[in-house]
This record gives sequence, C-alpha cells and structure tokens, in this order.
Amino acid sequence: MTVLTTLLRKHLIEARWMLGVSSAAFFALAVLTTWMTMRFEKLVATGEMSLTDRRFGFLRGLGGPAQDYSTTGLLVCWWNHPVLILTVLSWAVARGSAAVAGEIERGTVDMTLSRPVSRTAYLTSQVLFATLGLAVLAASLIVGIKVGGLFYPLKTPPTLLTLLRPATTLTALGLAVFGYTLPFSAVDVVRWRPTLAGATITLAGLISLSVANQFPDYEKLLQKLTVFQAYAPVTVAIKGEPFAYNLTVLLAVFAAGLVPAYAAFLNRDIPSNS
Amino acid sequence: MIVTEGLTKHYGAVHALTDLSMEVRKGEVFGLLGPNGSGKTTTIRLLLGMLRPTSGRATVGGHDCWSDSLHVRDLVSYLPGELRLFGPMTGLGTLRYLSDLRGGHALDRAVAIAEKVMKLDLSRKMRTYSTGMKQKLALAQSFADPVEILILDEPTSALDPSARNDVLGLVAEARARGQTVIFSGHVLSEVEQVSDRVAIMRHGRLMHVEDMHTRRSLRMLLLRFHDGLAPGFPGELEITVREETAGTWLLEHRGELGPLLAWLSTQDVAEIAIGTEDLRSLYDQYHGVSADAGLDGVTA
Repeated sequence: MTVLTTLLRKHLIEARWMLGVSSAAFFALAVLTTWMTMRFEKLVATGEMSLTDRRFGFLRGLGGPAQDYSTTGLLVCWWNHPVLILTVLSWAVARGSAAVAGEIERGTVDMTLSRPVSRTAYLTSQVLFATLGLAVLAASLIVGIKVGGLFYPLKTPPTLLTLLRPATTLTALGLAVFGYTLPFSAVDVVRWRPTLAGATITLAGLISLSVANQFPDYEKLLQKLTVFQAYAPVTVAIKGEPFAYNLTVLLAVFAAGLVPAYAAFLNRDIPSNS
Repeated sequence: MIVTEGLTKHYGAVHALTDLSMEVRKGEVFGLLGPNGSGKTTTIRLLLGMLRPTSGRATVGGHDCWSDSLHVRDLVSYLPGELRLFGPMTGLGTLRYLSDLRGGHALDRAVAIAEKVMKLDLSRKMRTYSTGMKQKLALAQSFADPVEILILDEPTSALDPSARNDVLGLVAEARARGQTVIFSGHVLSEVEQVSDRVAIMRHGRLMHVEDMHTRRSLRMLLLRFHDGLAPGFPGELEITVREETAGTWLLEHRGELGPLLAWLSTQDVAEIAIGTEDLRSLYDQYHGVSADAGLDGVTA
C-alpha cells in the first residue's frame, strides 16, 4: 500500500460517518425528488393540475430556468436547496480546516509526519480526499435519481451525461470553497480560525449574490465576488452552455487556493500541540 | 550519526534553542535531560524537520534535517511526548496505518510487541485506550520499526512501573541491535540507567554532556583519619578532593578499586564510607536552587 492510499484510508476512517450520512441523505433526497417529479408530471398529464398551479410556485424560488417544468429542470432545481448546498459547503470548509490546522490542533499530525511522508504527499492526500468526498456526495444525487427512476417512471428521464454536468459543477463549487479555506488552515495551528475564515467568505459570497440586484451600479462587481454566481445546476443541466465557463471559474478559485496553501505548508513550522 | 552545528530556533523574542552543537554517535543511547522549556522537544522537532532552524544546521546520517527531512525520517522512528492517536481506529488499525507509512514491513513485529510485551487488546478503538495504553502502542510501533535511530520523547511518562521496566529493557535491546537512541526524559534514574551519554539542557542551551560510563566508575569516599590530618594522596589513584570539613574528607575516585583499597589499608583510617554518585547531583548543578541563582545570568 502506498503512502497516499494509506493516508486516504485514514482520512476515510475518520470522516466516514459524516460522508456516509450525508451521502445517504443526498441519495434519499434524490429518490424523493424523483417521486415528486413523477407525481407532478402525472397530475399535469391527467389535467388534475395546471403548470401555473400556485402549489408549484415554490419551484421558482429554487432558481434556474425550472419554470419550463421539464423533467430535468424539476429534478435538478432541488440542487439549489439550502440544505443540500449547506451540506456541501460544510464538507468543504470542514475538510479544509481539518487538513492542516485541525491535525496540528489534535496533535495527530506528529504521528504521520514523523514517518517518511513528504509534506506534499500529506497535503495532496487531504486535497484528494476532499475531492473524493465531494464527488461521492454529487454522485449520490445522480444515483438517487437513477434508482428513483426505476420505481417512479418519469416523462423524459435525464441522461447520465445531463446529470453529470450539474454534479460536476456541484463538486467544483465545493472545491472552490475548500480551495479558499485551505490556505488559512495551512498557516494556522487551531481549527476554529480557518473554519471561521472559510465560513465568513462563503457567507459573504451568499450575501453578495443575494443583494447584487439591489445595487444596479455594482451588480456585476458583486456577482464577480462570489463563487455562487458560477453555480447554476439547472441551467447547465438544461442548456449545458455555461458549464465549461462555470467549471473553469470554480476550478480556478480552487487552484488559486491550492498554490498558497502548498507554498505555506511546505515551508512552515509544525509545532507540537502542547 | 546525528550532528548539530550552532542549531538555533527563535520565535520572535522567545529563544527556544540557542547555538546547540552536539554529536550523537552511532549505536549509543543519548539522554536528553532538562525541565519543561529547556529545549529538548524543540531539538527533537528540528531533527525531524518539523521546525526550520533560525540558524545553524542539523544532520542525521548525513542528511540535512530541514532540506532532506524525508530521508531523515526514513532513518528515524519518533515517539512524541504529547502523544495523540486516531480515535476511530482500533489498536491494530493504528499499527497498520503507522507501518504502512513505512512500507508495511514492521506490522507483525509491532503486533507481537504490543500483544506480548505491552499486553494490549488491539481490537479496541483508540478512544477507549487510556493514555498509558496509547503510549504503549506507540512504543510498540517505534521499537518494531526497521530504523537506525529511535527518538523517544518522554517515553515512560504515562506508564506504570512494570511497563517502565519493559521500556527500559526494550531500549537496551535496541542498543544491543546497534540502533541509536535519543532518550528524552524527566526521570533521572531512568535516563541514568539506559544512557551512554547524557546532555543537560537549560533555557534552550546545552549546558553539559556527561559520559555515563565514566560517571559510573566514579566513587565517592568519605574519610576521617585518626590524627585528623590527611596524608598525601598518590597521584596514580586519580583521587580528587571535593570537600574537607572538620577533618572529614570527601573524595572523588575514578580509577581501579584494587589499588585504592591497597592504599587505604596502609593508612590510619578512623571511619570510611564508599559510595557512588547519581545523576541528581550533576543535574542539580544546572537546575538546583543554587544553580538558578548562579546560572540565570549566564543563560538569560
């Protein structure tokens, strides 16, 4: 077993409950949305309900061009739900703050880095595991929709490729948040500060996006200040057009965080936790 | 095997280690003594490449401890003083993890030491282990590692007396196998028992290095002669007068015992006591109450 796979296994053992419960919840949510979509389509098809029915007005609040009420739109609009987004953000901030500062604070980094493990391998394992976790969360949504589709027939079931686009964007959103949290973790010795920094930037981004349209003169600037502007799962699922751009923006933020994080971690002192 | 040259680590105004120059020879047990904050752990972390020296350098097996620390850590197994292990892992899982980070070759030996010597239940999770049990587990891994150097930072601090003896026995075995050991600790009798040489540190400075083989051959003689006067001490006996009080002489003797006894038998001795001197008196020269008054000006 290589050093990298050994480290990944250790991270998985430590985070298995958070990842397992979150993935199971995502899977269940996706199955539930499949049932809801089937129900909606059935009611509309039998004329028991119209597309403009007030009961479905809440779908507009979930963002994206879901107003077309396509099967894909109805399914993926739930990927804008705050519970889902917050879970992904929590994972990203938690893994970012735990990567270095959390391990130093716990004192467990000593046992790892006193072995013949390079700091590059250590930090890379943290980055890989965060990426893996985010990918598992996003994959749980796809699997949930596909499994749900077996039991609840949909009018036009989305293809795997169609779902892969928003899932990749969701993973990239998490990576962007992880990316800007990691440099704080890489220079600190306690976990609460990078957690606070990551959460503050994230919250500022959400506020920036939500108030942008209140300030027309600064709207474009405010939208550029937040990674959430590049997260539009319904649009990329239905239209596919901004997918490459959004992905590039999110991954650029991720990469921009990695560079100072690696630079700091490779050159910093690792003190004891006492 | 381990060489430091002017090794210094400052954190702003805090001088954790200043101008440390020392050499640890291959195959010896090197004791590090000093109170908390004397620079022992800083020295060890500098050797492991966890800290970057402010100035000076350290090498282990010819590898620079900062720029080539990966090779250094390939040669070294380290037991931290403040030991923290991974709560969700079992004892076996922890040993497997630590072994796999070094190629996985030492797992069987680590399990054997943990189960047979340390009497640990490896199926239990780390979070259910006591502090002492965690220390035993980490020690089992350290002694199992196929390395040339063991760095043990307060290895017996959380152990019961019988386990302490086991650890001291394992240190002796490691030396017999040719491993080099740095043994940092607070318990003078343990450091004295296992070490070939002992370094005494104070306020981040190396104050003294004592060769324990020489020290173990040191005898203290308390003598009073019938006439109250001391004869001339033959130079070949290597006798040094340490103290004289009211006709009672405290002498240091480092030579062979036979010639000393032969000479004593020719003298008009009224009373005699022969003993050895432990590490305490040497340690107190640097860390006792009187030392604090005398050395603070030097080390500040």
